[in-house]
Amino acid sequence: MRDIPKDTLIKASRGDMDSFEAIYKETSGFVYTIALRITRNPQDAQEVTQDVFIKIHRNLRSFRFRAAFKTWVYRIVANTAINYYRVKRKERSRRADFDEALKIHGKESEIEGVIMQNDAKDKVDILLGILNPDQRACIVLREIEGLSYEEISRILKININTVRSRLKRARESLLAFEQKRVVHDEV
Amino acid sequence: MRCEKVKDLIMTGYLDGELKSSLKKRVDEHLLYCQSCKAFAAQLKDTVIKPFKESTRLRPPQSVWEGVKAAISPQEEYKEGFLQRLRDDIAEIFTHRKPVFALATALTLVIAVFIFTKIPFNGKRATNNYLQEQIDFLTYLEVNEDYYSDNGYMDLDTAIEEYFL
Repeated sequence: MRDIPKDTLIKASRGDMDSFEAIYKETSGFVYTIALRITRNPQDAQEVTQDVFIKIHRNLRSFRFRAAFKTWVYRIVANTAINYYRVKRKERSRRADFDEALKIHGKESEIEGVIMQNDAKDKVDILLGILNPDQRACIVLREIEGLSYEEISRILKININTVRSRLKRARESLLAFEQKRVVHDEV
Repeated sequence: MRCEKVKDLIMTGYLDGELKSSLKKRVDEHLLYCQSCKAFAAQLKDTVIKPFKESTRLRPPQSVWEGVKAAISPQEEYKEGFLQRLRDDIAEIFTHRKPVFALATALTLVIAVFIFTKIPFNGKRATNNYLQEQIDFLTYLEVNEDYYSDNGYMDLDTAIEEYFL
């Protein structure tokens, strides 16, 4: 993402829609990518992205330029996506009994379809699926966005040692998963 | 350095370029002779880090922007009212326009210092006059010892005496 001129931010904060659209065009790519990687669901990612830009529009007037605009946006999207994922997971677990009943009565071909769909998912999504949302956010910010430990700690408001330990645990899990997968494929 | 410790460092700071140079040098030296740790680093890079680095950035569908516009336009249209405008202007002075504000303060200080040092004040002149008068009066007393005569009459010769008497 290129740096957005301060003038554009000021104009957008005063209600200029063209300036706000310019901000959207510049930042929506990384906002949506982070949202999708954390929620792992395109529909949820779209809702998170929309919510993030509404929050940006609402709070731009009180943005004080103490932190970089990009850091501010990262913080909004990471927190919104993590919270959204947690809420959705709870909702989905409440429906688990109903889904379980559907599975039992579902046709064999439909179940196979779900497995096929999972196989077709990209590798990144499969790897992220074995992590908890906090680890996922750290991995996405580090590996996909290429941020430093210091930047991640500022965005997620955690100390650097926590960033380091979350990345370590995430990579341990990913490595263990990959090793199991290799063994499984060989068998 | 033990392999366990090296693998720990590889897993985080080493691969992320977040190690101090002295510690990185020690890991590098270890990797020169330890094949097990070298293989571990390669495996980690290949299976855990590479897929993320190669992933492409995605873009949201156009409907997301339409949704954002629909949510902010009717409810949060900019208010053109006088008070709103005034609040924004004041906030802008203290937030967005800090360099201008700082420059204005500095200029005000320079002008104030110039005025206080270069322009003489009446107060200073009056003090000098008073001191001069006192010196003249004391000199006069020394020369004319019979200044206070028996009839109680005395000259009102200085500004301060004229003021009090």
